[in-house]
Amino acid sequence: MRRMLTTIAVSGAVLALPATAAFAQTPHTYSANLTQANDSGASGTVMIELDGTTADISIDGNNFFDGFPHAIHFHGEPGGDNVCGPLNPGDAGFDEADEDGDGILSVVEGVPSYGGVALSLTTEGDTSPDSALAVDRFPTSGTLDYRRTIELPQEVADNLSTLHVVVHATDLNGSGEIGDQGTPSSLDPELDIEATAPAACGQITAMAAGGVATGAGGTATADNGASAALAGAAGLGVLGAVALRRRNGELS
Amino acid sequence: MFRIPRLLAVSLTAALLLAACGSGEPDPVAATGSVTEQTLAQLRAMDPERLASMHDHGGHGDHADHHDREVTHPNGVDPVRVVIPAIGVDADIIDLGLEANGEMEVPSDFAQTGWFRHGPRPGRVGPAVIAGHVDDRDGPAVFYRLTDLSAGDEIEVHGEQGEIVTFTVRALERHPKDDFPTERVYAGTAGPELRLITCGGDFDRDARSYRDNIIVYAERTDL
Repeated sequence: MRRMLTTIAVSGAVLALPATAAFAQTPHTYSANLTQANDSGASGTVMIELDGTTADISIDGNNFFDGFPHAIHFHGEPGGDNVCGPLNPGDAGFDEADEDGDGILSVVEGVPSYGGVALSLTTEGDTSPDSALAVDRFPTSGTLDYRRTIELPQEVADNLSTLHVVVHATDLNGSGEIGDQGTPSSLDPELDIEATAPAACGQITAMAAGGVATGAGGTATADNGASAALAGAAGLGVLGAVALRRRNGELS
Repeated sequence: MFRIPRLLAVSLTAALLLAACGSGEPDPVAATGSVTEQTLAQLRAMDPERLASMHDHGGHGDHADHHDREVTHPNGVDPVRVVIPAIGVDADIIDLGLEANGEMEVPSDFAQTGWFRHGPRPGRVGPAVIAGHVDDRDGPAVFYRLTDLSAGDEIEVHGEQGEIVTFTVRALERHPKDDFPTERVYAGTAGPELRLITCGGDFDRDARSYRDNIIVYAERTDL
């Protein structure tokens, strides 16, 4: 299929296609890699398939505490500049974020980086920020195994790439129990911090499908090789899985 | 707001335990009587909406102010120009979205590059993606010499207000388009990163397209 003669205006805002889409497509697929917070050892992957404001969300985790509700949220100001921020002791900026200096990033200590709750990933019922601590409607397994289709508020759907996924509750002292760290949660002094402290955070990013059609063949040589790509790549130690090879089978 | 004092919460827990023992049903979440079970009971007894409001309003301000003093443009720039001295590139950047089939749009002008506008802005945490053509039908185009880049070469991305964020090449890879490393290119990263993409490999004259993509990975190094 000829791809290089696009009819996009110079501003690049709109792709005119025969018969079908009238405007540029919004991304369908987003993902977030969850990396550990508070040295939890947890990790995971979030996949989001978006159709308009309907999001199919799946979350698969590793090494989260098994047997206690993990509040999971999309955090951040839609369209804003939030980041996961420093999550573990030793990360650049962690000491500054850890305002009470106890070596633990509490919920409220993380908020200046990742922002407030934009959506609660409950297993059923309400998903607004009001449900952020709806303890009986969150996954409890160590692998999370979350699957749900949620109607997103418009501004969340339009700005997923600026939000972050945070999973809460972690066995900070490795005792095998939640609730014996001895430090109060930043949400309620009666509650132990292990019940609410962040366990992992991941930046949500948009994905494009497949490759990118960025060439029309004007420098391809007669034997169908692309002279530029072959000549240059040999010098740089190509790491990709494909070995350099001309069409006639010679390795270069 | 109603909140159960600790002593009462423990008493309630004890009552639940006795009832549980009598019914013989295991607690579905945590071992009966454990610290974890007690913590859960405590959490259940609290007002979830009060806790939720504490979540968002308990913080003490935005750390972005601290960062700005030490780091320039921590939130990236709206990219308008890319300069790569090692290979003589100095080109405009336009915004690119997605085509109807979900693939990235490409610039219609072979001398321009394009930034994937649904991804992070160049300079902020995450992978910014900039694509450009390797050639047009007659000869070289803006990213013709991308494969001449070496680790350590610098890439400058200029913003609308003249701001500059600088990246350093870390690696270059070539992959078939039908085995494109989507996660490696688009998934979140620990720090601010950049990917430059063009075409390479064999040119399929029937399909009138190159088989592979060349991907340059770079990290922001002016922080």
